[in-house]
Amino acid sequence: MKRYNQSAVSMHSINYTYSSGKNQLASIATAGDIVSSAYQYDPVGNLKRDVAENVFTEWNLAGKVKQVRKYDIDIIFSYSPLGLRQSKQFSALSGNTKEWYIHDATGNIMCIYDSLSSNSIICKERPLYGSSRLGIDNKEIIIKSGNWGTLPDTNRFRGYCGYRNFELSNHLGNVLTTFSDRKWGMDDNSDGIVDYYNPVVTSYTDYYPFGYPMPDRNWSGTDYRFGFNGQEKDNEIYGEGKSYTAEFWQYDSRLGRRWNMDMVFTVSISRYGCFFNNPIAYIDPNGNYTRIGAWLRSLFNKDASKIYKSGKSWGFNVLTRGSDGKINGYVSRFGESYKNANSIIDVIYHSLTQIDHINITGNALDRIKKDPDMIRYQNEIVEEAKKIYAKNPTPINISKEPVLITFGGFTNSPLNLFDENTRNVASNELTWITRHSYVYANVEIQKDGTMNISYLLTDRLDLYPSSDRTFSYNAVCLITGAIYHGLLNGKASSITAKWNTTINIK
Amino acid sequence: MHKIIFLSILIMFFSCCGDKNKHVFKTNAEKDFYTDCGGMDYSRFPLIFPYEVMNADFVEKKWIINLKIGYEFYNSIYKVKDIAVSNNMIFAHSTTTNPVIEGRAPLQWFVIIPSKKIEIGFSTEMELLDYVKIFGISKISWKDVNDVSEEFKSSECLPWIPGCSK
Repeated sequence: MKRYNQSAVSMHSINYTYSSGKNQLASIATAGDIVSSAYQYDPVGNLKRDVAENVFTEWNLAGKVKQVRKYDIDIIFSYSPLGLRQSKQFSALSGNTKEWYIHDATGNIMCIYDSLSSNSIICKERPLYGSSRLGIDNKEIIIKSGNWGTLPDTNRFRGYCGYRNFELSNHLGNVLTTFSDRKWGMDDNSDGIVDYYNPVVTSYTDYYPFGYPMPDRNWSGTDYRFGFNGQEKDNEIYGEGKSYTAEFWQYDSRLGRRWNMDMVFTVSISRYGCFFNNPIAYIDPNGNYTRIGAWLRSLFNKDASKIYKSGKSWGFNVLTRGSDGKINGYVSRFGESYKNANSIIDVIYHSLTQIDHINITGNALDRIKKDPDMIRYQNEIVEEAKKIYAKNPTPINISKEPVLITFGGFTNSPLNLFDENTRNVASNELTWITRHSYVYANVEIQKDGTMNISYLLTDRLDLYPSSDRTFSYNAVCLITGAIYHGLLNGKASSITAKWNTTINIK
Repeated sequence: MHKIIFLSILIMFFSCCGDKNKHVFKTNAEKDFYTDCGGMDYSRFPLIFPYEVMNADFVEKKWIINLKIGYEFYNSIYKVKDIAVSNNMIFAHSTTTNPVIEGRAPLQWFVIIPSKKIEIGFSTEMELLDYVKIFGISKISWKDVNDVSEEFKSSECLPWIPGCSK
C-alpha cells in the first residue's frame, strides 16, 4: 500500500507478508512513519502481538479485545452480555481514566461516564441522535460528588452553549467535520452590529481510503470520539485515528486490516480483509458486515439514516416526505425478515434490503400458476386423482414428494441468444425469480369429487459459485455473483410461493 | 489486456459439457440430454433417455428424478442417494421418509425400465431385488449420486451413455 502526502511525496510504502494458508498478516515492511513489524496470533486467529510497536493484546471468549498493553500504557476493556463495550480503563504514567458506556436497547451509546474515583460519577459525553447520530454533548454532568445525599451539581439544570459538537459525515459515514452549537458573530463593516454568523468548527478530518487521517487535512479542537465509518477511535494504541473499534472488530486504519477474524465468512474473501478491499464503495460500521453503503444509502435513504442490525436481521429507516417535499416521519424497516413480492423488481429490492424470506404473490404468482411446466405437473396430478377417485371415491390426503419444475420455458441452447426459445426464456420474469424450483403438493380429495391442491414452491436467490455447477456456469456465476452478492450486496434470500387450487374431478 | 479477459470469458461461456463425446446421436434432443451438465441454478446428469437426475439446491443437495409416468402417488424420486444403471434399467435409492399417504411406509427403492415404460417403487431393497430377479438381476452395484455427478462433470461420460462405454 502506498500513500502520498499533501506535497505528493511518498509517505507510506507498505509491503504485506502473509502466513502461508492462513491469510494472517505475518509482517509488514515499510518506508515512512509506520514502523516495520511482525505479527503474532493466538490459536483462535486473533492478533496477539504487534512486535515492533510492542502491542500485546488479550481476547475474551466472545472474540472481543480484553486488554491492550503497550510500553507504559495498559487498556482494559469489559463488555456487556450483548457484546457491547461496557468500560474502558486506561492506565498510564500520565494518569488513569475509566469510562463506562451506557447503551440503549439497540446498542446506541446513550452516555459515557467517567468514574475512577469511588466518590464521583461524571457523565462526560452524551451522543445526540436523530434518525442517526448527530453529535455529542460534551458538557460534564456531575451525577455524584462525594457521598450520596450531597446535592449534586445544580448547574446541570442550566442551559449551556459551546459543549455540543455536531458531526457532518460523508456517504460512507466518515465524520469529516464537527462544529459547535456556538456561532461566531461577524461584523464586516465594524459598526458594532453582527452582519452574519460563522459556525465554530471544532474538528475536521480527511481520510485516505481505509481511514488513515490525511496529514495537514485534519485538526481537532475537541477530542471527538468518532471518525472513520462513524466508528469509535482508540487513539491510545497507535495515535489519533489509527485504531478503531466497533462491535465486532478492532481495526487498524494504517494497514486496512482487522485484528480479529470476520465472523461472517465469505468465500474467496480473507477473514482479516476489510471492505472487500474497496473502502471507497463499501462500509462496515459494525465490523461484521461489509455492504455497499454509498449506493444503498443514496437509493433508499437520501437523508442518511444508517443501516442497523437487530438480532440476525438488518434494517434501516426510510424517511417519508409530505407533498411539499419536507420530511414528515420515517418508516422503520427494522428487523424485517419476511416480505411479499409481486414482481422481479420487488424480489430484487427485498434481496438488496437484506430480507431473509421473500414470498411470491400477485402477478408473479399468477405467472407461476400459468407456467407451462407447472400446468403439465398439475395435469398429471389431476389425471392421477381421477383414476384414484374412479377406483375408490373415498376421501384421501396425499402429501406428494416434490418435483423439480422448470419455470420460464424450455431451451436447449441457454447461452445462444440467437435462438428464439432462449430469448423467450430470457425475457420471462420467472426465469430470473425462480428457474428450477422444487414444488411440493398436498392433495386432498373429498368424497364429493372435489380436489384441493396446496402447492409450495421453494427456491433461493443464489448466484454464488458452487462445486456442483459446471466450470462455465461457475464462471458466469463468478461475474454475476460478484456483482449481485458482492458489489450490490444482494442477499441470497429464500423464495417461497404458496397457492391453492380447487378442481372437481367427478 | 481487455481483449484477453474478454476472450477468456467467452471461452468459459462456451466451454460447456458435450464436446468430448463423439458418438453420433439420433436427435439433437438426445445429444443434449446426454451431454448437458446443468445450468445456472441446477446441476444434472443423464441416466437413460429421458430420465435424468437433477439438483437445484446447491446447499443441501436434494437430488431428484422426475418420473414420466408416476407410481402410486409418486411423481418423482426425491432425495436420491444412490443410483445404478444396468441392462437398460435404472435403479434409484432415496432417503425420503415422507409416507405420502399417512400410515404407509415410504417408497425408497425404485426401478425404472424406460423401454417397457415401467416405474415401480418399493419400501425395502429386498422387495426391489425380488422384483428384478425376473429380469435376471441378483445384485445391484449402487453408486453415490454425488460421485456420479462428479464423474460426469470431469469426464463428460458415464458408462451407460452411448459412446462412453469402454
